[in-house]
Amino acid sequence: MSILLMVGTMKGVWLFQSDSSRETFEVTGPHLKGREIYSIAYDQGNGRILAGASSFHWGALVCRSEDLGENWTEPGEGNVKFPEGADWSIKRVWQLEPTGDGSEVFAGVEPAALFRSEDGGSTFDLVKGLYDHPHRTTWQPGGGGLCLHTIIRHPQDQNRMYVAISTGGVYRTADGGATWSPANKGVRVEFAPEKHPEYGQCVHKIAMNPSLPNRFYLQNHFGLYRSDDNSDSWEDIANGVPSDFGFPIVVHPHDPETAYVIPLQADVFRATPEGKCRVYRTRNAGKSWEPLTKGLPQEDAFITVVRDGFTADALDPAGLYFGTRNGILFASSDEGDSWRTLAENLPPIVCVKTAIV
Amino acid sequence: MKVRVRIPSVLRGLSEGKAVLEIEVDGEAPTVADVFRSLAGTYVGVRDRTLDEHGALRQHVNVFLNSDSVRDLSGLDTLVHPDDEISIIPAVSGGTHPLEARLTSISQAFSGNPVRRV
Repeated sequence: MSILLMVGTMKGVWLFQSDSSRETFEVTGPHLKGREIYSIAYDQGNGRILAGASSFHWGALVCRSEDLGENWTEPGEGNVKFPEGADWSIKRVWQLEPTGDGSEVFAGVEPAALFRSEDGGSTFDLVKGLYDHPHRTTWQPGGGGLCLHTIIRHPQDQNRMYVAISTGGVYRTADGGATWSPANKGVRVEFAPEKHPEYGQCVHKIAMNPSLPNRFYLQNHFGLYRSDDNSDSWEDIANGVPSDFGFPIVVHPHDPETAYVIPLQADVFRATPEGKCRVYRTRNAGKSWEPLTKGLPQEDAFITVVRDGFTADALDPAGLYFGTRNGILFASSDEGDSWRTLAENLPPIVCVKTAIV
Repeated sequence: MKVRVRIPSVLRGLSEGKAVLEIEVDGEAPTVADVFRSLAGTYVGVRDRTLDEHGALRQHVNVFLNSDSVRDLSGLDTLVHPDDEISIIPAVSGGTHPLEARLTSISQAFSGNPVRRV
């Protein structure tokens, strides 16, 4: 058994692989050289790595590797396309979520839409139920664009799914994607006169531990929240963090009481507050948070971590990994108690994901 | 009639390595869009990198008819004539060095990527 750490950057993919000790990683890259990699995933069902690759010139695609990055295939024909008659065209693939059976894969894209593949990520079709939602034409782009950046499937009920859109908020379906409803009650909006609208929130990330599927954590564009009622309502849990602004939120893979954030100062200064790179951990579902600093720079560290730049592995104790906009990759193999630098001169890191292979 | 289409090095993995394609295009008054429709029959990847899924020219790609950008003519509706030459050229923004482009050509296997340890 080994751990595969997949790092998507603005100029390609880097892959890090280690045994379960996570003491030494073998590194390869850049793969898909020159492409912006906003999303990457490993499909346990077929051993395939999928990467959402976009080019400044040539558009966005889902590329794949069947051999852990040794070789990559880029489809000739574009494989994520809005259908004829749609008023949008694909710009980026922000999220790839395989169901793990080797066939079905969901993709969240910019402009904000959901696609489904039934052939392991080779081709994708638009999920019309969300595209046809009457809210769609009123969603507004956030700083990163109008993107559907998070896809969470219910662990027991394949018809239930949750997505997050910047700027649209959280939407959920209970009928396999045919119909969708907003789920943002309690999540505030700072950039509009109405502070608690039904939808339109700039949700940066949501996370769920499959062992407690009614509980979600949410990092908002200002605001840190938890839901214990299947996203019916959200409670503010920014209790003791230096800022409630940030992008990623990670839930512990084995303990739904434990979650992690990396606060940034504000939307006008998207950097770690006070020049200190701190991960904050709660072990009581957000009642309190503690800073984790051992091994992280605490002077002149004005660091930005974007929404998919932080992740956990599934080992015990859990490993944590985050990559920064200035190309530093940090890792912890003790649930965040201590950290070390795995790489420090990569291109801007956009996404970090793990898999056990 | 036949029209020549020049392919940039970075896309030649999608054109069987050819730098120039001879594209047969039918009709009384064929346009640049018609050339891309014909081209897509064999080289759909070239079409999809140059035009989006709705047939619009990608923002950062330029298509020239002889020496003129089609954006300065009638866009993809510009008429083509026998012996015309179309060139697909990435915009200068974010450009790629020709050698680099060859190294990253489509579907290239990155075998031999050296393994480091950290």
